[in-house]
Amino acid sequence: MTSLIAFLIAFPLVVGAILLVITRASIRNPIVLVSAAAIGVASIATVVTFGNGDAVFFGLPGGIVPGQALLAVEIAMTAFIVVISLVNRRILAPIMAVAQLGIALFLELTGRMPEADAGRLFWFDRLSMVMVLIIGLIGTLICVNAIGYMRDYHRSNPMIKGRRNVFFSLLFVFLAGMFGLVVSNNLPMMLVFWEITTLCSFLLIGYTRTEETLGYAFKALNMNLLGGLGFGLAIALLSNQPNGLDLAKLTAGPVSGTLLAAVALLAFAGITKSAQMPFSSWLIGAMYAPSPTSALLHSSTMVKAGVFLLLRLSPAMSGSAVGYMVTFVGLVTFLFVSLVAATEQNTKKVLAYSTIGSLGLIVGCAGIGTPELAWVGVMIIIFHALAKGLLFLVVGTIENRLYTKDMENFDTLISRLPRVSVLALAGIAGMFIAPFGIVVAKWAAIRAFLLVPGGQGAAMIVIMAFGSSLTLFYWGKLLIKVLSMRSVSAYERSIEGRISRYEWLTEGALAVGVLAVTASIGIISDRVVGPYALSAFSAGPQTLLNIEPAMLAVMLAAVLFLPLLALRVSSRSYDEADFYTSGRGSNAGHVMGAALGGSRSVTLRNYYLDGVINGALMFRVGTVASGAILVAMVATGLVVR
Amino acid sequence: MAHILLVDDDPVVVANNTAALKAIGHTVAAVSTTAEASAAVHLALPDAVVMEGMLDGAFAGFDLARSLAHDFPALPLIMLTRADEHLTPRELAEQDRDGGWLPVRRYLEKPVSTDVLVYEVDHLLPGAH
Repeated sequence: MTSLIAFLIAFPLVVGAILLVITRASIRNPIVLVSAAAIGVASIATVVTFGNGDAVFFGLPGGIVPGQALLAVEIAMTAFIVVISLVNRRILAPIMAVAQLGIALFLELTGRMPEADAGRLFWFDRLSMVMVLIIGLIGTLICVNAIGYMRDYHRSNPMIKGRRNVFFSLLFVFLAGMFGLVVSNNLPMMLVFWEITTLCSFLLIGYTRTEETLGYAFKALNMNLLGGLGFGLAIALLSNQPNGLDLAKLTAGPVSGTLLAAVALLAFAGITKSAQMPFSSWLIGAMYAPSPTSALLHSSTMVKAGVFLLLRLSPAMSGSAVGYMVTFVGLVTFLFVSLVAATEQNTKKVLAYSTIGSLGLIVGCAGIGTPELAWVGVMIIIFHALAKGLLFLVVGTIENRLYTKDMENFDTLISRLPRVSVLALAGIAGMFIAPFGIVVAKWAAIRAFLLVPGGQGAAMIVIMAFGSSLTLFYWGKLLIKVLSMRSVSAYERSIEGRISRYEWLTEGALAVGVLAVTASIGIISDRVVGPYALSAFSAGPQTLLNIEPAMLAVMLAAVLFLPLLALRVSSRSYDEADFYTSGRGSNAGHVMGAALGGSRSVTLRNYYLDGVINGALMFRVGTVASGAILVAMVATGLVVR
Repeated sequence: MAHILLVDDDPVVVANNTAALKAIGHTVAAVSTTAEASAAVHLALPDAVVMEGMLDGAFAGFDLARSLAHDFPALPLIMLTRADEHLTPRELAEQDRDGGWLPVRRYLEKPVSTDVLVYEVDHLLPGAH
């Protein structure tokens, strides 16, 4: 198994280096396909050879300690950030990158950095296993999807100077960074992988290199580097603690004193990475990147690195004031981004807000630190990676066919792009309809919050219930848009035929994955997530969810029946009637005479809470509220301890 | 607002797009051949041109796009076309390049809803974004 993990980290790096020099699509595409398949197989093999599920610790072959090599990579990345920032006249990013490198150099040169335990560099347990499968299967599917997406993207934007060799190279380097991150046990090594993902995200957001996208890329870089700086400070605090840099030993149980301060700083890093408020704006800006980037980095995997770290820290935060504050950062974020999402018309941004909200729920679960909530957190990670990854890819496919991300233009989608609509429905259902995992997990979360000592659980349940009702509202709106029907011409229907087979293959696989994982939720809970939650916390869980297979089957059948019916009905043709209103037409358009001589224009559109909720204002309020909690959290960790 | 030139030989498309662009305050002129389009652009430079690729009974729209881009590099061109139906796989493969295969800002396959057209035109006009 250890050699397979080495393969998972090294192989994508090699592929990335090869793809960088290949500019011909006809050579690039087979390499991407074969490499993706190899990584997928290797990740499954890793899990198969994992054995009985007990955590495994191991080092590099020959007992090599990567100390100097890590420093060299850090120096190279810092130099790159400094150069690219100064070329683009940005000053904040290089300052933070240099500060972070300064900490590492200081520790290394003054001999304060303890020697890493050569046999415990890596840590593979059931949580790593879940993440490896997500990166190895969902991540590679998204890479394959990008072949088709990027071709159409460049075809319809002929004047954007493409660099697809760089694009695909970055995707694979990113996969290597993610694999490394989720199996790291040594914190300085984890930080290097952490920064690799930050750098890939920055470069992919800025792919088109317009002023606009460069601005968003630097925003993402700044916020993630700030988190990296927190990570670096945590390492500095831990460097003189016995076993401090060994993540498994650090998080074996509740901590206090300096260790808690370091955990608070690490949690801060996790919160920036998972785009929780006050750092949510970077993820919204990241939506200007091509859709496969959004699916891979900003939904399925990279932002999950943040919640992965928080789940790792969960036993250490358990019961502490820091943990409770982490929870409230997550829940406040969930509530406010759900409010904003209900007012948003750009579908990709709705998906982004929804992503931040789902991550907020996981952060909320991680902060409390009970086995039940860790179970919920991992379940949301799995289902969200599948369903949201799928939705981002589907929206990308629609965008390349209809040239729009506006939810209002998605109406009658089931008539125009029927098969794509079914894929979209699978993703939407996965996000908010029972018995799909996220709803099951939310229900389990409400039950687990009830058990939180001291009564804070009531506030958490209220926030969750209110936020979840908003998610129901915005997913419902999108669902209705997709499901509305009209007659379409044969030519209009033919545009679905232009979708590439790469997109059909990958989106179909993800849709099947949503269903398959839902159908096997009982097995996943009993064999993987449940044992993980038990072993991470010394106390056994009292109320892990017991899922009734028969009930699950009935609900799944009911959910599957509707889209199939819709698909069948959608091919009929309709007599379209003109709209009827009881007013007097005041011109030839859709303006009607109203009472007292006024006039009203008739529109048929969704309700975005116009005039009721100001989305931008809510975003600011949430940012301020969450920011205040975050400051209190770090202060509690550093000062109060 | 802005002055938009529509080049299309399908009267239904011209009528719909003209109405949509006029509704948000643009002035619109419509022509149906490359010769008329060339003449119209040289007579009074529009702020943007929305053109079909299949003109004059062939692929003349593509040549028009290239010559307009050559003569007026700052003029935003949007191509709305049904050319894809007539392209061979080989021709499609030639468009699979990292940009630069045609000097237009946006290349959109019909049908394109008027909402999308309005958004694209607004997005590409000088001064916007």
